Amino acid sequence: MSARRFDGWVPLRLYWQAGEPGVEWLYMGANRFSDPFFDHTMHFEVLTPFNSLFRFRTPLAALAEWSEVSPGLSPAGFIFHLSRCGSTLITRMLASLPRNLVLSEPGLLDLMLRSHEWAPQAPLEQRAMWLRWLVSALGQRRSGLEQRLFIKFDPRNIVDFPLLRLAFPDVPWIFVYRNPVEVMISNLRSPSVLVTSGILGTEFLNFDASLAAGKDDAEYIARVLGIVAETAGRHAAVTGGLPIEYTQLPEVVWGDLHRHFGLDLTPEEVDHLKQVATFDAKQPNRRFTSDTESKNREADDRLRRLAGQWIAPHYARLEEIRLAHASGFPAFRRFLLDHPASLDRLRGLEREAFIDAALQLAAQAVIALDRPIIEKAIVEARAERARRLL
Amino acid sequence: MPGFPTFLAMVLDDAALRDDLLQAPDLPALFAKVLAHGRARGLKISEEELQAVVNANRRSWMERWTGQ
Repeated sequence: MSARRFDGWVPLRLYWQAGEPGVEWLYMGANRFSDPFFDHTMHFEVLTPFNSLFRFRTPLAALAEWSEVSPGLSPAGFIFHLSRCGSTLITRMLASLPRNLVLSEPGLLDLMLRSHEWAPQAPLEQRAMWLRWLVSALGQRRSGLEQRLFIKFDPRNIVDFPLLRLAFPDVPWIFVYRNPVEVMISNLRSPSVLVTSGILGTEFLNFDASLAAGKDDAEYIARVLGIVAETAGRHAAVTGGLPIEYTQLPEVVWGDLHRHFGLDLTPEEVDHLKQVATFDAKQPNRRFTSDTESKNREADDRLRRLAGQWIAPHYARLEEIRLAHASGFPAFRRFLLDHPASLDRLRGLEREAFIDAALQLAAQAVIALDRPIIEKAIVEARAERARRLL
Repeated sequence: MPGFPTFLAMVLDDAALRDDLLQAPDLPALFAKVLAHGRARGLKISEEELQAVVNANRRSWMERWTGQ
């Protein structure tokens, strides 16, 4: 079978036969993934007369050939989240720019990340390769204008982070989260897939799985969300993941996220993003209205206690990592890269004059910086320069 | 010759055939096109066979979480 035949065809779903993965394809031509979630777009696509009839299956190896012939866009950023915390707004904003291709929680990517359930014998390296092939097929340009690929994952996939990191070691990533009480209320009002009893496997639920029987929704939700938040904080601390708190939205997209993902936004694109942010992410025909107050009013003492017990410590850790990103010399360096005129003011200065000018600029930019931090950065920079010379 | 599987392989290889089939506004129109194209290519395809494929595809999407 010639790989060229996959032009316009998109992997729809995965299946496993005797531990070997296969792909089912449908035809999308140049259509974009225009809905808030990948599977929503696919739901409409499978209903077209053509796709109702013409779907075909190939072994996963066909993706390898296809990725050689037509490599998809390399991922430019991964988005993880706690659920109900603004991550869909971020993907909607990114997807609104024609040069971005955004895959929002593709079901088959979730299945691939959990490939150990169907192919427990497959070595990790092989599973990472499968993942790269699938991402390459999903990351094919749709309109031809796309330059960057962003992928948002299902919240539970944070536990599969090591496999993803093995497949894509250098891709920057973020974790979006929100006040635990507000996330809990949202999940109680309308349970996300993540907290629907019976969905998660026992290896995810590293607590008493009997809770999954639905006897106590609030505690189950709190403990599942706690696992997600704890896992995210642990990986963010060592791999440079950027935590983003709900209250930073939407400005963070053209601020820290802009830098973290290297978005290279034009002023016109920033104006466009501001417009997109005024609409509800999951119902884009509606204006966005804040629900923070109503959610907090709805929370009773028990819910607050559960949120405090199971999620809050991990939320605090994420906040700690986030604030470390926003202060100190790394934040000052990012500020200078964004403000070349300020950088010019520091060029060629002697040590003391440099420190004084840096402190002055940091104060103006509201970045927490003090003399010891700058002195340490100078020592580290000199050591780095010496290392390069060697 | 086997009917639909052969025709499906032709659709994958033949962009003009695919584009013509994409024009069908609904399933009856698509079935009519498939039967006509199939006859022209010497294939024996029945409407029942096509309906069975559609049903299997529907089921496949509904069962996408099973990994089967």
